[in-house]
Amino acid sequence: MTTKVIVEVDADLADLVPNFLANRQKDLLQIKAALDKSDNDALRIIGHNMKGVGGGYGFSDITEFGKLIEVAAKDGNYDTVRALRQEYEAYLANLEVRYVP
Amino acid sequence: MIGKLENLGQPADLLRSVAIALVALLTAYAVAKTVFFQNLDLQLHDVQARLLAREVDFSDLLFVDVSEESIKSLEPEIGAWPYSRSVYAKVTEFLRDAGARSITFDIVFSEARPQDDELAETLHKSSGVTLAVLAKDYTVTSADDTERMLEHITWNKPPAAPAFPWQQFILPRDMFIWADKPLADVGVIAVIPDNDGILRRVPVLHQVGDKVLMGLSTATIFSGKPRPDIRFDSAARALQIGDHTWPVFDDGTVLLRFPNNHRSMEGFHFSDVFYAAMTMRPSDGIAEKIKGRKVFVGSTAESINDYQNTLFGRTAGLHLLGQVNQLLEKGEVLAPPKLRWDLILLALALFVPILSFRERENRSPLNYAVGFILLPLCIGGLSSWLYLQKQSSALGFPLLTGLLAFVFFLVRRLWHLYNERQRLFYEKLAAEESYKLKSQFISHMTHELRTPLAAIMGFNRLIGDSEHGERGQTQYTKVIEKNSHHLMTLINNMLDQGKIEAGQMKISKVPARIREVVDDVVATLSNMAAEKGLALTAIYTDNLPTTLDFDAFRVRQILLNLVGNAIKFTERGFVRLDLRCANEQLDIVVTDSGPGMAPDVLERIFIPFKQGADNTQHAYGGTGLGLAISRNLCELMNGTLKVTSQLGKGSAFTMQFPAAVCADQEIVAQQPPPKATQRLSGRVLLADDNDDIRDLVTRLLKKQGVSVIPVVDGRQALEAALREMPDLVLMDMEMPVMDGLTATKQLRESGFAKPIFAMTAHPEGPEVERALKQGFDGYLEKPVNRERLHGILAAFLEPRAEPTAVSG
Repeated sequence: MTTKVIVEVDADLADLVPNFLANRQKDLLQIKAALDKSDNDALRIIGHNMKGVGGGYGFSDITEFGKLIEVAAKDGNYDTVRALRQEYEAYLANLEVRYVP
Repeated sequence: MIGKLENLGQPADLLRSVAIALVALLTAYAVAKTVFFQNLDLQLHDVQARLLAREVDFSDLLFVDVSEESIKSLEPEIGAWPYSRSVYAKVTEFLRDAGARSITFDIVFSEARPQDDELAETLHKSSGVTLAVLAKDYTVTSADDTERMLEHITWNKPPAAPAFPWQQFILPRDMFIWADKPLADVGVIAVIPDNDGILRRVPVLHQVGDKVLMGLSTATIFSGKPRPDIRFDSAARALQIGDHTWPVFDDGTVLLRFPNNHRSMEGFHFSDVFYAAMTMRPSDGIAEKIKGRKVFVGSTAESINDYQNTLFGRTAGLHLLGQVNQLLEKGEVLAPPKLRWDLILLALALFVPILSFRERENRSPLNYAVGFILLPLCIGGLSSWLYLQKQSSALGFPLLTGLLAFVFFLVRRLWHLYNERQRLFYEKLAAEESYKLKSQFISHMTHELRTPLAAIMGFNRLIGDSEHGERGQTQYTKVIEKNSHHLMTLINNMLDQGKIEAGQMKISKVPARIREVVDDVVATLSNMAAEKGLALTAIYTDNLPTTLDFDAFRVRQILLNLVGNAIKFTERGFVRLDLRCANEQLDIVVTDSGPGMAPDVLERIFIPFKQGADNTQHAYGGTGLGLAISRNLCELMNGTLKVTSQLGKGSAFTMQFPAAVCADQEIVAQQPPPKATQRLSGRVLLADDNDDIRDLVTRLLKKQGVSVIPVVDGRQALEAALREMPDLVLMDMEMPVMDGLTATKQLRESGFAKPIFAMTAHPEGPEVERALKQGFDGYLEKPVNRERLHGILAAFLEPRAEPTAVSG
C-alpha cells in the first residue's frame, strides 16, 4: 500500500513548504505524546491547528485529518485518534509535492 | 452674503415695527380720553413739579392776617368780625405811612358798613391800594351805578385775547373806587381749581361781556402805577400787560411754577398791626418791616374758611394770593405745551421700544429690561429739562404710548418665540419619526439582504456537493444568479438613496435613442410578465423623435422600477407604456390593470422606506425605496413623477421630463473602461501564534503589495497596533499570553478605529458572533482562502498607484 500522494502547491510558496512539512512531522510526535498522557485537550488543539494550516498551503487533506482528530479528541475517542495518526503518518510519508506557477 | 440677507430683512421688519407703533399710538389715544388717565397725568405732572420746585424770594411780601388769634385779641377792643371800615382805614393809613410798596385787601368791601366814609377818605389820600372784586357765574341784583362804574375801571377786551368768562362782577362800593378819579385799584378774586380740586393755574384776565378786569394778584403788580395797556400777542399766545408778558392757555389762565419755600413768607397778626396803628401797644419794629414791602391784608382764620389745595398741600387763600402775585411778577409761569416738543417726546416714546426690539440675533432679555428702564428716563428727562426752561409738555401720553408700544412689541416677540418653539417641536417629532423609519428600515433591510445571501450560500454549497448531477447544478446557478441580482438591486437602491440624500446624485444627459431604452426595459421584464400571464406592451406615437438628449441610464432605472412594480402587483390583465413627446418634453405613462391604491396610500408611496400597505414588504419584498428614488431622479432631471389610481381600477404613473430632440449621428458609442488587475497599498498587522499560518498569510499579503507587521500573541498585537497604527488587523482568536478577543476589546477601548478581522477555524460557531459584538469587523475563516483574503483587503485598502511600465 505505497500509493504516492501528489499535491499541487503554488510555486510562490515553494520556499515555505519544507519548513511546513517539517512542522507536520512534529504533529506526529505531539500526537503520540498526547496519546501517551491521554491528554485529549492537547489532541484537540493539535487537530484544530492542523485544520487551520493545511488548506491554506494547498494540503486540504491535512485540514481533513485535523478536523477528524479534533472531533475524535473532543469525544475522548483515543483509538480513532491513534488510527488517524497512523494514516496521517502514512500520508506524510508518501507525499509528493509538485509546484505549479 | 449673510450681511446682504440681513439687509433684505430689515425694511419689512421696520414696516412691521412702525405698524405696531401706530397701533400703540391709537390705543394710547383711546386710553387718554378716560378720566382715570387724565387724573393720572395730572398727578405725574405734580410729581414732576414737586421734584423740580425751586426757591423763590418772598422777602418783599408781608401778610397782615385777620387770624383766629387776632380776632380774639381784638374782640374786647373793637367787637367781633366783621369790623367797621374805620378799622381798615386806620390800618391802611398806618401801612401807607410806614412805607408799604402796595396794600392789597383780600376782603370784599361790596356791602355798606359803618364808617365807610372814613375808609373812602383814607383811600382818597392814599395810592397803591388794591381792592378785591368778586366774580360770579350767575347774575345777582346790583346797584344801578355798577354799569357806570365798570366803564371807569374795566378794560375793553383786546381782540383774540383769552380771558376767563363770568356772568357778573361784584365790585366794592363806588365810594371806595371812584370819585371823579380812581381811588383804589381793583382785582378779581376767583380760583379755578382743576377737576381733582387742586389749584395749578390762575386766570390773568377775567371777563364779563366785552369788559375785562385783572385778577387781584395781577392787579397788585400794577398798583399805584399808571393804568397799563393790555395787549395780546396772538403769535406767541402771550398776554402783555404793561411791561409784563405771560404765555397763556386758551382759557386765559397761566400755569404756575410753584416754589417749595412758600412757608417762608412772613406776616403779622392783624391785631398787632392795628395796635401799632393805634399806638396802643409797642410796635415791635412793625413799621420797619412794612417799609418797601407788598402788604396783603386778609384772613387765614378757620372760621372764614378761605383755603385752597395746591401741590404743596392746603394753603390759605391769603397766602396763595401773595404767592401767586410774586410768581406772576417774577415770571415763574410755564408756557402752554408746544406741538413741536410734544411730538419729539412722542417720537422718543416710540423710538426706544423700536430700538429695543429691533431684529437682531442674540438679543437677550437684558436688552428689553434696559429699554424698559430707559423709556421713562428719556421721556421724564426731556420733559423735566423743558420744565426747567419754563416750557410745559405732555408727560402721561408719551409715557403711556411708549409703554403700550413696549408691551405690544413684547407680545409680538413672545408670539414669535411661541411659534418658533412649536416649529422646533414639530421638527423634533419629524426627526424622531424619520429616525424611527430608518431604524425600521435597517432592521428590515438586514433581513432582506440576508435572505438572498443565504440562498446564494446554500445553493453554492450544493453545487460543491458532487452527489447532484449537472442538471441540478444548472438549476442552482440560476437560483444563485437570481438572488445575486436581487441582492445587487437592494444594495444599489440603498446606495442611490444615500447619494440622493447627500446631494451627490448627478444626471448626465447624452443623446440616445429613447425606443431602445424602452424596448430594453420591456425585453428585460417580458419574462417576468409572461410568467404571470400579463401583456406587456409599449405604445409609441408616430411623431416620437428617434434621438433625444437625456440620461438613458437613469430613465431605464426609473422605468425598470415602475414597470417592475406594475408587474409585481398586477395579477391579471396588462401593463402598458405610452410614450409621447411634445415641445421637447417627453411623457411616459406606465398603466396597469392591478388592484389600484386608496388615496391615503397614494400619499405615502413616494416617502422613502414606506411602502403602500404595512404588509407589502412581507408580501412582495423590496426596500420601499424604488419610488422615492424614481421621483427624486425625475426631479433631478427637472421633471415630475405623478400617480393616479383608484382602488380596483389600476394605476397610472406618469413621468415627464424635458428632453431636447437631437440629430441621429450625435450618438457616440461608449466603450467600457479597461479592467485593471490592481494591487493594494497599506500595512496589515498579522497576529497568529502558528508559524505556518503566519508565514503563509504574510506571503499572500506581500503578493498583494501590502506590507506586513507579524506578531505572535495578543499582547504583542495590542502594542504593535497602537504603535504602528496599521490600516487593517488580522487577528487569530486563540493565542497564548492574550487571546484575540481580549486584544481587540482593549484596542477598541483605546480608540483604535481601523478594521479588525478575526481569523478562525470555526466560522459558524458562537465564537464569531461574540467576536463581532466585541469590536471585530468581520472574520476570515481558516484555512485561509486567497480570494476571500483579497476581498477583505480590497474593501479597506487603497489601490496601489503604480507607474505605467514604459518599455525602453
